[in-house]
Amino acid sequence: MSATPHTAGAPGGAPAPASARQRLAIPEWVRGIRPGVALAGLVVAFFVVAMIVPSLLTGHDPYAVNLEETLQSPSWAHIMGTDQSGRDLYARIVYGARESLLIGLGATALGMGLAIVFGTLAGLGNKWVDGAINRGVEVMFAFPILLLALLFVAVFGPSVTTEIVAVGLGTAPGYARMVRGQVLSVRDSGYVEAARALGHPYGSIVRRHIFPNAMRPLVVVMTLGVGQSIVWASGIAFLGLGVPPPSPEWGALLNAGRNYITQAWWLEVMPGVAIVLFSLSLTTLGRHLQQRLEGGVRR
Amino acid sequence: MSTTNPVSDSKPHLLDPEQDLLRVDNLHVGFGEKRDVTEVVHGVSFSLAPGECLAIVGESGSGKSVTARTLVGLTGGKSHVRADRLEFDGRDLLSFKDRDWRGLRGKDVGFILQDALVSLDQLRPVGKEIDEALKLHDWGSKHERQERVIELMELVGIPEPEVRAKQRPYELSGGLRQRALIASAIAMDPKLIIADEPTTALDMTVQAQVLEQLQAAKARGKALILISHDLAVVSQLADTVAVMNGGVLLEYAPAAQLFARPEHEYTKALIEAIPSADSRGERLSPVERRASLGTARAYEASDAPVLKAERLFKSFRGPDGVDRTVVNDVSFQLAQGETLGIVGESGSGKTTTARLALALLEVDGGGVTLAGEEWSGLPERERRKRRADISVIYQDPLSSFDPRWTVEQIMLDALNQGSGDKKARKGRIAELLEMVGLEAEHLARRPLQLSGGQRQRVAIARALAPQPRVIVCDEPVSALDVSIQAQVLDLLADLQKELGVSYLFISHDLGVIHHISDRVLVMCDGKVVEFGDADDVLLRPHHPYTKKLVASLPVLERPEPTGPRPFGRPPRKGRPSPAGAPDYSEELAA
Repeated sequence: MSATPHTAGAPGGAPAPASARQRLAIPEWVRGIRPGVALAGLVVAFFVVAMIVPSLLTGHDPYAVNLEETLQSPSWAHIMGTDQSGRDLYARIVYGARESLLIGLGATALGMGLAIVFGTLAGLGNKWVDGAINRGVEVMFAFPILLLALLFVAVFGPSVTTEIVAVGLGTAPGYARMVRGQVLSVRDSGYVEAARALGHPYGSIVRRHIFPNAMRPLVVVMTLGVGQSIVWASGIAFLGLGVPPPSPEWGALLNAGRNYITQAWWLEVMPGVAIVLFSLSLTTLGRHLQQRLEGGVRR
Repeated sequence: MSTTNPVSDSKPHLLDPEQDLLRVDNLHVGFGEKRDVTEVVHGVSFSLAPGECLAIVGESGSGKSVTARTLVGLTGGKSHVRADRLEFDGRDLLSFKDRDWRGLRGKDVGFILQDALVSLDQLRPVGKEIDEALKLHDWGSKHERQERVIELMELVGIPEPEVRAKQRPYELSGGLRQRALIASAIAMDPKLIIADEPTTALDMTVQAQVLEQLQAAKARGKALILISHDLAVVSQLADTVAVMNGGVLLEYAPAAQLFARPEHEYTKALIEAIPSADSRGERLSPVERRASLGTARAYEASDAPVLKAERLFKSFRGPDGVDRTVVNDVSFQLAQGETLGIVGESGSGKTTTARLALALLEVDGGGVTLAGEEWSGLPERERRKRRADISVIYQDPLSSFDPRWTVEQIMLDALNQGSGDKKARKGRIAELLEMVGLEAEHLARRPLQLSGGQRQRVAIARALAPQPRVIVCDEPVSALDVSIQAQVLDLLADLQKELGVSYLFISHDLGVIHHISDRVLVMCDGKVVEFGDADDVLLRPHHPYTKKLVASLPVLERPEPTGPRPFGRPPRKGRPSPAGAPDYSEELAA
């Protein structure tokens, strides 16, 4: 993590001439953004565009087989080289962003959704509800995420949905613990008791104090989680349990390039770089967000 | 340096009695990076001779702790220390490198920190901790050190030292922990002991014991620097007092002179701000009373109890599965417009009693009535309708506010239960802020952006919003500086006078309790040991526990001031002054 653009590009707020800054009239919140964070924002924006309109970023067809140009190393014509079927790797990565990001977002949304429901129930419920949910979470913890994925693929066959469900279920217990802890600490906080003393009904206290305060740190956890889910999904795909070919999903690309690793290093390196770059950028943004949000209201 | 037994060697081995042990001339301390240094201590000078005690007094941010830490080289990496002279025992501290400091700390200078629970290693027996101080400076053999540890623990008054030495900090009471810390600070028999707020986190009776230990060290010829915000504590020990504010030494004088004839306005205000039996019914702060209270409803004072607790019981199950009775047969009555003080040490059940009165906890036995009607026995749904009649102020206002909310949202929320359109509510908020001495500009701020005193004012405004008959104040001034405490106590007294609101006022501080209460309830181990008129209970205590508590209260020892008193306060007659209070020193020693 030490080589993230986040730390590399943070000059610690060098005092630039104030008059020049004022003339440019840069708003305060923009000035607070460090170069590393800005770079991370650009990377994320790039992949989001790739997810929505990939044709904007590449003229190549990711599925067009060209047997005359197989396994070409990176060049001006194919900046990331081509694969064993002569398909442009850059185009495949750009088009693969949609499925990869969908898996990342979907799995995190599913995992967090389940976690919020069960974590909040456990945190606010009586000891029976809490106990039951805790035991369930512990059982889930005992399952390796890959084993769970294997089970799902065996039953439902490999697809984007299967991967979302597998990763979502796999990450849910960890999030559920976090949500429960948050809810518990807010539930026992001074301001919740103060609200009780003012005579607010319990439902309104949960809605106005407990829920928003418990969820606040989760916003950051979620941005971190999307990157992590993509890495998980890539791992599953690398084992051949992911989205089947010819899908350009990043994990699938990794899996496909495995057989040519001695001849064509770019088939492994380029998708790997995309995965690392994207999750790193999301993590950087997440941390920035964390500082922004918690800086103002830290206890 | 000798490695003979330092304690039996009780003759102060000094260079020259005339010579100062410590000399500090024009000390400046700043923090920050190269160009961006913020100076927090601006030119402080003092000196100290063996067997003397210098007290550095000031409020938070005054620079007193930084000054003390400079003397042991603990100001940290980004600090900048400069002085015309900084000498200890003939050595120039300005030239000290890390190695020199390590040789000095513990051996020549002992440092006692405020919170023993944090300063002691939780997983190490306290005997080991004291042994460490000796081992670091290669004192004696293992066996000799063991004997020395026991000897030291005896010296600081820890009973059964052989047993205690094997116990870990969490197994000891606060007083024993603090004494263990003193034992490790004096293990190498240092010439100078620096104690940074050594009694601040402690109960009153424990504080007395710790002060006694420091007094004993002083009597053995040790020089002592006592850092404190509490003038009364300081007056027990100090020969010289340095008053600091904003990094500047405002007054530096012999203790007797400083307390009798304070020169600086700030020192006068600080002395005036101390609440005590003597200050009852008078203002503590120089801030004038506010007149306008707008359309607020006022209650007529009456003798009918507005809050009445009868034979309350409450127990909690401990981690070992055994029930502990935390509130045991507690009864009291609170009349409209009066203040009932509940005083007791930590764990005495004060706060639990308050929460039972607020019906935030269910009683196990007994009952509470509010304004003559059933209160604790009602289901929560019924109680909610009447919660406007009783509100609460907490010790830590910050944690009692939702961190996302601005002051305006907090106030709107408090008024939400009442009726009225938005405009009327805004008007009411302005009125409430005015009452507690806050401005409209504070509305947009979050509690985190307010000072401690301002936060507590917001908390008071929130408590007043529903126009309660009773406000439960749970240690409302314990986290505040003396001068801010004085303002808040004055504010509470003003509000009571004008609104006729009653206070159930909880504090561990006898001075505060005596200042503000009409009647006092003394609690110990969940039981009421004494209940009655404040003067009766606190000036003529009957129960041994109350006597012990009263005796342990450090009273500012100052001769009757001559000339007019500051803030036009007339000298009072007919009440025994603190200086004339009975002498408990013999009882303490016993």
